Amino acid sequence: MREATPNTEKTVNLTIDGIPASVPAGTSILEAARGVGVVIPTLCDREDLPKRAVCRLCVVECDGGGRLKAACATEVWEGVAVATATPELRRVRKSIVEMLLADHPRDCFVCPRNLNCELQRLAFELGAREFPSYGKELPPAPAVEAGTIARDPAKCVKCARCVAVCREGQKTGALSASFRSASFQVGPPYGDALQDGACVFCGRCASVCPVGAITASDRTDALEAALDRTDAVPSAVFADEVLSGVEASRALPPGSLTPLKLSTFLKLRGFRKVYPRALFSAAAAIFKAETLVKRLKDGSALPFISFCSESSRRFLEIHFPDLLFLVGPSGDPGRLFSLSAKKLLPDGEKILAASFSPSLSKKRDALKDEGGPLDFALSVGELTNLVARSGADLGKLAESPYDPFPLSAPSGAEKDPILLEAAGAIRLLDARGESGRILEEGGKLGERVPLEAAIGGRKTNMLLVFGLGAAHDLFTEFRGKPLPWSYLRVVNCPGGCVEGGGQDPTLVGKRLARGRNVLKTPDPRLAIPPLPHEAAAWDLFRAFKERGGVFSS
Amino acid sequence: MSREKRLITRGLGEARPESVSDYEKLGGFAALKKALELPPEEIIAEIKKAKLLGRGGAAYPAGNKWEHLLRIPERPKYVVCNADEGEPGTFKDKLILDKLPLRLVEGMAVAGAVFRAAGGYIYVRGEYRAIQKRFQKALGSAREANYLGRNILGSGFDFDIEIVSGAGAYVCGENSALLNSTEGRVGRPRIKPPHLAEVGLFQKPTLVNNVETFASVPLVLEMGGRAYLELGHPESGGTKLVCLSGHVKRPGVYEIPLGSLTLRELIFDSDFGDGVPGGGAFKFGHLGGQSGPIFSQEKLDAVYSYADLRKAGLSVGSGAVVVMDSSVSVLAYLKKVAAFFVHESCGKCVPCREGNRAVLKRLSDLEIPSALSRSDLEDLANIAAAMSRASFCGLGQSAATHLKTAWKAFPAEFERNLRENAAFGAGAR
Repeated sequence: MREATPNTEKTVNLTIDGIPASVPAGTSILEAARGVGVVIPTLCDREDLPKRAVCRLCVVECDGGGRLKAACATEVWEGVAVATATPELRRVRKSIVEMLLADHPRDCFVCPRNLNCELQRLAFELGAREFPSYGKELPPAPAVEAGTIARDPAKCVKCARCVAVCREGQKTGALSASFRSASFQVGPPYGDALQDGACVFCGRCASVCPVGAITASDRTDALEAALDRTDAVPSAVFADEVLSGVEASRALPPGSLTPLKLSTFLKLRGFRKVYPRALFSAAAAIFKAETLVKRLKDGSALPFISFCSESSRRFLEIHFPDLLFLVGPSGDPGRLFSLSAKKLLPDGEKILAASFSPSLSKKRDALKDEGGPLDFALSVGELTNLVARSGADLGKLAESPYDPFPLSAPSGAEKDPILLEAAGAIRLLDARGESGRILEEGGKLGERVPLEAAIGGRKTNMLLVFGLGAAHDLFTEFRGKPLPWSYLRVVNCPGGCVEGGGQDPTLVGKRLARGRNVLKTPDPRLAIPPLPHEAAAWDLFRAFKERGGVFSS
Repeated sequence: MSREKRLITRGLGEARPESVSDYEKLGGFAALKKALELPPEEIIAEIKKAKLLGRGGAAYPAGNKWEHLLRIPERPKYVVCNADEGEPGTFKDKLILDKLPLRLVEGMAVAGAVFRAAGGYIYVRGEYRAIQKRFQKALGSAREANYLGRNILGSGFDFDIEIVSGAGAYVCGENSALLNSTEGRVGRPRIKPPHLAEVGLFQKPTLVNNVETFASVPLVLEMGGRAYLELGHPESGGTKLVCLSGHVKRPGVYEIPLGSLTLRELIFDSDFGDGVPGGGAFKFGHLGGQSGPIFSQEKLDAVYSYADLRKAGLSVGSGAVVVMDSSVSVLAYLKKVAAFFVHESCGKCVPCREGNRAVLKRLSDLEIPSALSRSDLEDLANIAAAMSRASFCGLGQSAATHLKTAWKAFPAEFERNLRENAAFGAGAR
C-alpha cells in the first residue's frame, strides 16, 4: 500500500504543464499532478492499490523528451518539468484506449456498469469516436457467476487490479494472472471455479474492477418479483452503511439521505415492515457475548475470532488452519432478524426477510444456507436498482419511523450484567468495523483498533482489524505465539463494511466514502457505553432462546 | 587475409571447451588473478576506458553499470548472466556457452571478485538443453582448478555459479523478467525504477550482463582498456560477434572489430556472407533480431558500429544480420515477425498485448485489395508509435521497430492495396 511511502521530510519542487508544484519526496507524478488540478488519465492505477503501471495511459514526457514515463509509477524529482498532454501523448492515449475498445463487447446498454464504467468514461474523455476494426476474432470467454460474484471475462481490460487487491491487498490469493499475450487472463488459478479456491467472497475484486468484468451478483429481478407477491409479508432491515452508496448513485448530497427516509422508500416500494437493524445488531452481540464469556470462564480458545461473515472462515482454512478452532460466530444481524421474525412473529411463516448491507460475503453466507433463514441478502447494487427502477426522488421523501418488533411473549428473565457488559464491548468494536476506517494522528488510517474492556470486573483486551490483508499480517506476526486478546474482530474490507464488496464500487477506497465515515482514534480506555437498545435486545435474546432458537452464526 | 579478429573466439576449435589447461594456454584466468589482486575501481576503470558496450542488445556502457553497482553499499550482491538468447537469428551466445565456456566463467568470476558477490547465476535459454549440460561440465572443471568455489586461489574469496534454465519465454531475456523467473516467479518484467543494480535478484543489488559482455571482460583486462578501445570504434571498443543468416552463402558467427566493415562487406565479401545464393538479389536485411530494424539496399554502406548504425537509423542489437532476397515479400516477412511478438508478448501492458495483435491484423489486411483506407494506415502508424513510446518494457518498445523501419524502406508495399488506390488502379498515386 502506498499510504506510508511519501517521505515527508523532504519537499521536491517541479512543474506540471508549467504549473509549479511542491510535494513530499516519494510522491508519484500522477499524485503531484492531481494536487495542482491536472488529472492524468489512468485505468489501472488506484491510490489504494500497489502500483502496476500496465495500462500505460498515464505516460508523460519529462524535461522535454526522452522515454515517456508512467506517471503512476514514477516518483517526482527536483526540478523536473512534466508535460502531461502534448500532441504525441494525446495520440498515444487515444490509440491505447482504442486498442482496448477493439475487442470490448459493445453491450454497454445492458451492462451492470453502464454509466458507471471507467473505460466508457476514458473512451469519451480521450476522444475515441469509433470502434477500431482490427479486433480479434477469438470467441468471447463465457460469463460465470459463482456465489455472489459475477465474472464476464470478455469485458476484462486486464488491468489486474483484482489480482493486486486479492493477492497483495487482502492476501487471500484467490485470483492470479495467467498465460501471456492475447491469452493473458485473470481469474482463479488453473481455471478452477472461484468457490473451489481460496476465495472468501469479500468482493474487493468487484469493488476495484474498472469495468463490468467482475461485479456483485444482482438479484433485483427476484426481489421485485417477491415484492409483487400478495401472499407474503416482505420485511426488511438495512445497515446505515448502505446510505452513502444510494446517495452517490442518485447524485444526492452526502448525508442527505437519512435512515428514516430510506425506510419510507422501502415501504413505498412494497415492504410491509421495516425494522431497526440496530436492535438485531445488539441482540446478536449478546449471543456473541455468550461465546466470549464462556471462553473467558474456561480460559480456553481465546481469542474468540469473529469474522464479519461465515464465508471468511475460508481465509483461515487456507492460510492459518491452526487458528480455526478460535473462530466463533460472526453475528450477522440480518440473519438474526430473519430467524427471530420467522420464529417469534405471529405470521412468521409468511415473512420474506430481506437485509440490505454493503457486505458481499454476508450475501454469500445467505446463499450457502440454501433457502435458509434469510430470504434476501442484498447489497447496495440491488437497493440502488430498486430506487432507480421506482423513479422515486429520495430527496423529497418524508421520514417514517421503523416498525417496532413485537415480541409475543416478552421475557421477564433477569438481565445478566456480565453478558451485557461483554455485549456492549463487542457491539462497540463491531460497530466501528462497520462504519469505516479509523483516522489516527497524522492522518494515517489505522488497521488495528484496540479496545480495553472490563467484563465482570476483569480487564480484557480486544482488537478490531480492518481488512484480511491486515489480518494476514497480524496472524503472521503472532505465528507460534499466543494472540493476546480475548475478542478479535476481523472485518474483510480495509475500509470497513461501509466500503464492503457490495458497496457502490465508485465509492470504495475513495476519500468521498471515507470523508463521511472516518472516525477519530478512540481512546482504548474510554468508558464503553451501554449496549444500544439494551432492554429490547435482552428481551429478544431471551424470547428467542425460550422458543428454542439457535443462533450460532 | 580475413578481416575477422579472433579475440573472444581465439582458440575456437582448438581448445577443448571444458579444459582448464587448454584455456590457460590461451592466457585464460590471468584476468581473474588480476581482479583478485587489484582494487575494484581499477578493474572498472579499464572497462570504462575500453568503452565496452553491453552486447545483449541495449548497448548500455558496461563500465557505467559496474560503477553504479560498486557504489551501492548494500550487500549481498549478485552477478547474473543473461544467456536467454532468444532473438531469432542470434546464435553467438550459444557459441560461447558451447565452445568457449571458460571465457564466460572467467568474466563472471571477475565480476564476482570486483563486487565480492555472494553468488553468480546464469540463466540459460531452455532450448539450449544439451549446451547447459556441457556448460555444467566447464563449471565443474573450473571448480576443480579452484577458479570457482571456496577460497579462490587462496584469496579468501568464495564464488560459484549456478545454472538456471529458462523455459522458452522470449520475454525472460528482459533482465527484470529474467530475475523474476530466476526467483521462481512468473517471467514478467518489473517496474523500473528501482534499477536492478539497487533492487535486483532476491531484491538485492545485482549486475546483469549478457554472455558476450562477460566473455569480453577478460580480454579487456588482458589487453588493457586503451588497446581494446583502439581495436574497435572510438565510441565502442573491441570486437562484436555477428550472426549472419538467411539468404547468404556463408552463414555463421563472425567476430569483427566494431567499425571496421560496412553492411555490404559483411553480406557480400567472400570472407563473410559471400553474397546471396542461387543468383538471387538482395532485397532487405534485418538487424539485431526480431526487435531490430529492417533496411533496404540504400543502407548497405552503413558501417557496422553502434554509432554509425544509429546514425543510419539502424542498430546493432544482439548482433544478428538476417538477409532476405528478392523472392521474399516484405509484408509476408513482417507478418512472421508480428506473429512472433503476438506469441511472445507477456501480456501485462496494453500497448504490447493489444498493439501486436492489431499490427498483425493490419499487415494481413494490407495484402487484401481495398481492405484498408488511408485513415486505417494512419491508425496503424499511431499504434506502432504507442507501442514504441508507451510499452512497459523493452520488448513492447521494440516490437514495432520492424514495422516502422520496413515502412520507411518500402513505402510502396504499404500503399499498394489501399482502398482509394485500388479504386483507381494500383499505383495511381
